[in-house]
Amino acid sequence: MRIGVLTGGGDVPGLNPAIQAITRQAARLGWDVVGIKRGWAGLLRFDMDNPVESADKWLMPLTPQSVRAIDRTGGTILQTSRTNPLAVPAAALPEFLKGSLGGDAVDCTPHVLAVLEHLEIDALIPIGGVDTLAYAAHLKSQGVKVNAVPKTMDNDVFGTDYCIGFSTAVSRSVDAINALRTPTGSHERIGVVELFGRKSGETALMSGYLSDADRVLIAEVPVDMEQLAEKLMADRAASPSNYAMMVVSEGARLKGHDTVEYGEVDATGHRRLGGIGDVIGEEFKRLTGTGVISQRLAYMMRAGTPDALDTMVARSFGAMAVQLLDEGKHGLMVAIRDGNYESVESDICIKGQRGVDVDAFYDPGEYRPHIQNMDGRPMFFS
Amino acid sequence: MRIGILTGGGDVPGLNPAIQQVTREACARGWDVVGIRNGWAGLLAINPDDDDANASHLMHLDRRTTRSIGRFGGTILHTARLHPDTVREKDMPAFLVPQAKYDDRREADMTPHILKAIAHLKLDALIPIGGDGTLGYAARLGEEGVPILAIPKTMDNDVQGTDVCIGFPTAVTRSIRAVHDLRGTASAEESIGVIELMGRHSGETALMAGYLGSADRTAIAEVPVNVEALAGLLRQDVGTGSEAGAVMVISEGATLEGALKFDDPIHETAMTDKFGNKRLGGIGETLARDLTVRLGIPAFSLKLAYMMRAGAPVSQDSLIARAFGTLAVELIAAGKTGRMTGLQNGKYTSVPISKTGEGASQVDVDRYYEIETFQPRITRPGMGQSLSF
Repeated sequence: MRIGVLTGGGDVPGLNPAIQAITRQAARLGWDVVGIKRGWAGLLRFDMDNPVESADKWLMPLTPQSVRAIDRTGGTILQTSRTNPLAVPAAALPEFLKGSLGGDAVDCTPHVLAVLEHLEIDALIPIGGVDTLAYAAHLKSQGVKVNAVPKTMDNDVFGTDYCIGFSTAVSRSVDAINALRTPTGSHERIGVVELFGRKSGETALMSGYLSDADRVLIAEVPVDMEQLAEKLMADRAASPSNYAMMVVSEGARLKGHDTVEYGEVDATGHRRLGGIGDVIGEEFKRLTGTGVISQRLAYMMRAGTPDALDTMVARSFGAMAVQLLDEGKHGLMVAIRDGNYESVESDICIKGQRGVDVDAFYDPGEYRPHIQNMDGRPMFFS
Repeated sequence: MRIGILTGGGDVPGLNPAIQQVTREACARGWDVVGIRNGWAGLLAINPDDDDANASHLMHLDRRTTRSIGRFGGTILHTARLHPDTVREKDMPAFLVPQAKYDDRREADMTPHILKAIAHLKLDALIPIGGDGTLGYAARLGEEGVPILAIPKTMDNDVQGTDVCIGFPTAVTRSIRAVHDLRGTASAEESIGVIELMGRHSGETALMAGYLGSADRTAIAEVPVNVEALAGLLRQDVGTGSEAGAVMVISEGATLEGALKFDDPIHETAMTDKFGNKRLGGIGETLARDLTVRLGIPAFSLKLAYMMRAGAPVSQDSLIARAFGTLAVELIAAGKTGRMTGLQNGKYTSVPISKTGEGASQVDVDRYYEIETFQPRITRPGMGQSLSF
């Protein structure tokens, strides 16, 4: 048995412990493990007419010895990309594929399948977010044995209550929000901390709840600026230090306006979200004359080593993906549902959108988390 | 409605968020909240005839006074390890001296006074936050008819009836970091680093930190350590890999078998705290000294000790602390007292408080530990398990 492992999408702390767990569990079964570099790009760019050079560039054999110390660091030793082999822009095709496949957005799946066969990979374990795992589900439909591992600090993969990276992102955010209290309080302003989270407000909700921010703006609920400004001024007046803290999802938006995005459309069809914190800050200043301290936490939420929970979930998820293959079970995504480890069909991630259950956990009138009725809830509430 | 809240035992990160959450949930219902300082010692010191003196043992809690406490470790209510059913003469408040009746161990059961103090403070319910010592006495008060709603905390994670206690996630996070950080030192000196972890008679902190930190070897309190066998394995560990050097963790409550005898032993278990409880610690240094002599390889030890519970909580601890705080008030509001909040099968729940009186929980050695290799045996993590430690 020979399995392939790859990481796609943004990096998060916990990927390396997951790669290590997969390698160790597979080695215990006497299997070979080959790491594929840069996510789906590694398979797309593998030139079967140039196998030695390609292997050198795109593959990394993984053994218990070679992964011995990787769990101590964040990021991913396999590197990552957002490449989607289902729709490769003609200009981004590898030289050796140009001409053989036509169109503007080329489906390179036949090449990917041929490479998997060439490399004698019996099963694949992709670790990624919705976009990476959506292509994994496509490969499953083409007959490839796939067991997927969900990661994203946004915690927005449909079908699992928890993704690798979320806990560390929240830990980092809470620390940063509390640290930013000192400049904000010293200057008697309003602190605006913008968090990654894409279209889900879960990172903002949880970080705002745990850091006890005065207001939390989530991607799911459009904001009435005048109402918000009034509340923030009241929060500031109520504070003995005459300041207030607010957390903002990068995917939040003002009523009647779109989300704030910038840059080029990437390989998975997205532009980057970001900047809503500054927009709201400027608007607040215009309305009230009171200053803001605006900070985008951005990559700091996923930089550095994983916390204990992410290390643990990463190891459990990685080992489970291999155990399931060993039991002859594939086409699955490992998951946590209702507080327990489980597995679900791998294409579940494309069947819905995960975000904050506003009715259950948020007070849209107050722009605050509203978390009650604890008995029977799982650790992260939903 | 008027509730009391206190914290007992060692401090852990997460106590302040729990106090804050209890206060807010109670205030939202229009209840009064009385903070009792220094755990059970604070209640013992309440003198029904001297309310001026009582003020120093109480702290009025409301949204304003608990405003910023959620950001910090420790406990604003302070803590003590005194148990009112076994009070020694030297811990007896002066006004109670005339009525104290000591048994043949020179300890007095002051529970009748505690009940009077609770009545004097007009408390309708009491929320003690603590480990098995604090909660053991809470169970006793429950039997005496006091409406109790307990919250479990201990970085040792050894309270029966819950899979996770407040403080454990932060303790494990800090311990993993120490394992990783000391690898550099062990490697540079081609030596063996022995990290001693707090955990009392439970090996759970060591097991988890050893597992998640990929320590070369893990020695837990539940299994006597065969020093010769361990030394043989460590000799191999030092010699393998791109990094020379090895790092192991050991529970402070572990015991050594076949250790070398030194004329000036350093391992001292007879230390006691000011309430007469025995303190553990020092076994790491004894082991390191033995290994240095036995193997001819330098070994050093580090007692992580209080660094495991110093500072602000990791997010999982503040999450659990707040959830437990909310749940405690929700249960009292529903008239369900005599219980302890907990996490079981990955979900928040509550169990009868009497459960906590059954003594500390320990590592299930058959399931989770391999005695021969001194390593955690977590061969099939995940499936069929819940998201807790």
